[in-house]
Amino acid sequence: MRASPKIIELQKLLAEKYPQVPKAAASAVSTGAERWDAALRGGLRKGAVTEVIAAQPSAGTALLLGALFAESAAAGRWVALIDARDAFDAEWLGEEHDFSRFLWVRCPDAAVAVKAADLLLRDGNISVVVLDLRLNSRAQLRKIQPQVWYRLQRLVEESAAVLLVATPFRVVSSAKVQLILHGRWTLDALETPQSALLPAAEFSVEGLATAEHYELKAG
Amino acid sequence: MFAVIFIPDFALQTLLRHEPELRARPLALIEDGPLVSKVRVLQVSAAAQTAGVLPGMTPPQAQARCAEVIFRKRSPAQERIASEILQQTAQSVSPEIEATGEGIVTADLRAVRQPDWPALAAGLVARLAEFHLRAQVGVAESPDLALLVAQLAAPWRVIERDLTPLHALPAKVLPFSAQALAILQRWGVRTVGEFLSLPKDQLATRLGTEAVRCWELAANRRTRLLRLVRAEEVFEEAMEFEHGIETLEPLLFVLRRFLDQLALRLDAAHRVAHALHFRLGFADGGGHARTFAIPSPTRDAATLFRLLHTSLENFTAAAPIIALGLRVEAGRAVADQFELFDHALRDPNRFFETLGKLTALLGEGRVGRPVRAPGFRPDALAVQPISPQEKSAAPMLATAPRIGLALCRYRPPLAATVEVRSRQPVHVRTAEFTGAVTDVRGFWHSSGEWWREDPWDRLEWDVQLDSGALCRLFRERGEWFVEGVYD
Repeated sequence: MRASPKIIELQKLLAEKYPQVPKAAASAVSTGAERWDAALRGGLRKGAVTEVIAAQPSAGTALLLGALFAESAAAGRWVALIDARDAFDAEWLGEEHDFSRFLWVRCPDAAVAVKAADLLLRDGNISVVVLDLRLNSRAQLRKIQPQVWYRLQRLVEESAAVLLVATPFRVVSSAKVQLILHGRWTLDALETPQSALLPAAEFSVEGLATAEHYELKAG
Repeated sequence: MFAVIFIPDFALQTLLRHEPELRARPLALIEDGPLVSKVRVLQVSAAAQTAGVLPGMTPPQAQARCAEVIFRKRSPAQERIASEILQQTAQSVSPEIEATGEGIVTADLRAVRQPDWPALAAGLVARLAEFHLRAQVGVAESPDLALLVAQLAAPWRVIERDLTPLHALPAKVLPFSAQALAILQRWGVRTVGEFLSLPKDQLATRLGTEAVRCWELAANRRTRLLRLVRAEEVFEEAMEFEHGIETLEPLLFVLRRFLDQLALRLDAAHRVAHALHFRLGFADGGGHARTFAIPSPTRDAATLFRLLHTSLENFTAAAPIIALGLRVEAGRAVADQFELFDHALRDPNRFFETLGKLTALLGEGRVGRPVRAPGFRPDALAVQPISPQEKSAAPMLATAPRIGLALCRYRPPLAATVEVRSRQPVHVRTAEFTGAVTDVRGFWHSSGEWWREDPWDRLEWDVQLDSGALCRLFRERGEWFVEGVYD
């Protein structure tokens, strides 16, 4: 759909009044798994919102989050997990996991979780913020206004942090990169080490800003 | 040389430090006594003096002269704090100081090299003005003469070897009794110079030791040793309110004033705040005290204020607040040396302020790092608050291999209706989803804590539904639940 002339005129006026400072090319934070990093061209982009969409239930979001948490712990990087339905099971990461730079924010619903994300991104101290909305109801997620996501995008740009939003369907209108998980796992996967599951993960990456599109199939 | 810092109407000025808006109004300071009839006006503001209110009057007499006069009681706490400020300020120019009297401090400046006395005196006046104290500073060759000069200064005065500027002053500036002053008046002695021209031994014969003391003082023949004190490094502000405070805004307003003052004092002492001890007194006699550790010690008033503000946002009290105190635990600034690959917090103070805001948003026990509670009870996770004092440990270079997918837990578990065939679940229905079971593993039996009132004893199954979802079911006390979804 083409924008109306009035909108184009307004955009020009705004661009003249508030010129954007050209930003340096953002670097990336490694996900901790080469396969994800290769697909994301170096990892999760700093200063951008990345949305991880589980295309079906049990699509394997843990493969990405587990690798990311372990990589961040090893790198001594602060990670905040905003748990929008208080669903995180830390025991799965293992007793030896280093939680010294891990912040768990247990929220009752998606609206509060978004407020918590806003506070943490404004803070600017935490370099990786994960907003987990996977178990929240569709009604809750649809209540989040699109401008909220653009506000978070602006905050991420200012803090040069990574904001990873895990969702059950496309929710984040401002996401620069969308990682769509297509994995269909069986009960055997629950007893298999993640190192063995990773090569079998099916996903695709859509970079909305750069129109990048990758399809990676299993095997 | 000696410098004397003199705060006129000391008790009144200490009271006005945190209420500068009262300066222009007629204010009378009264000393509270056990008998109402004994209450007298001690000191008065300039506006009250203009209206005819004088020290020594009873409150009704003062009110008869000026109906708008405001009465305030002395505040020993604020006088003590102002004395500390005075001594700390004096100690910034000399380590040898004497607490000469109420609102009077003498500093021994004989060790000062290449002195610029006017600059020093003006600096002391300016420094105390930052603490809302109107000081007069006198610099002279002896402590007593310096005190005399300070009492005459406006706002500072330096009298070096040449005492002739003193000679033109009226004789009453010397500490004569009224009787001695009257005798001098009858003799026609009007000025200090005329008094000094009288022979000392004849004065002793006629007027006694009092006249000799004044003569030696004016002639700079009198000296004494200072009773040295060391200013304590106590950084505290306190205030008692005439009317109880019931909302946060006025409390924050006063706190900000306190912090501005404390930051100045810390700056002068080259110290930073490591902790803030905050206390409140309530109208019902109760109190509240709390200590705020400063993650990254600082003397920045705005940062300290944000920390207090965030923590007080959700504070409630049963009774109005009538007293407020804030004490800084001061120390030297800490220089941190980070590891080469250490990702330290950029601004620890801001981080802990954000944690405070998150706690205010979510409640206690909702923000921190996950810790496993002792025992084997399923989902026995708790949140450990992140403490400002803790030192970050070196990052672990390797972590244990992770198995399978993570369980996203429903807290509390979802009540489910499960259809069972041959002791295995075949269909699951919950308030959130429903589906036929296509694959199942289990059951596993686990139990524990039988000695407690709430033991656990359950059977668990891992199931795959026709939607592809992998779930964990469990049955306890005849009820079915979905514990979570693997993802």
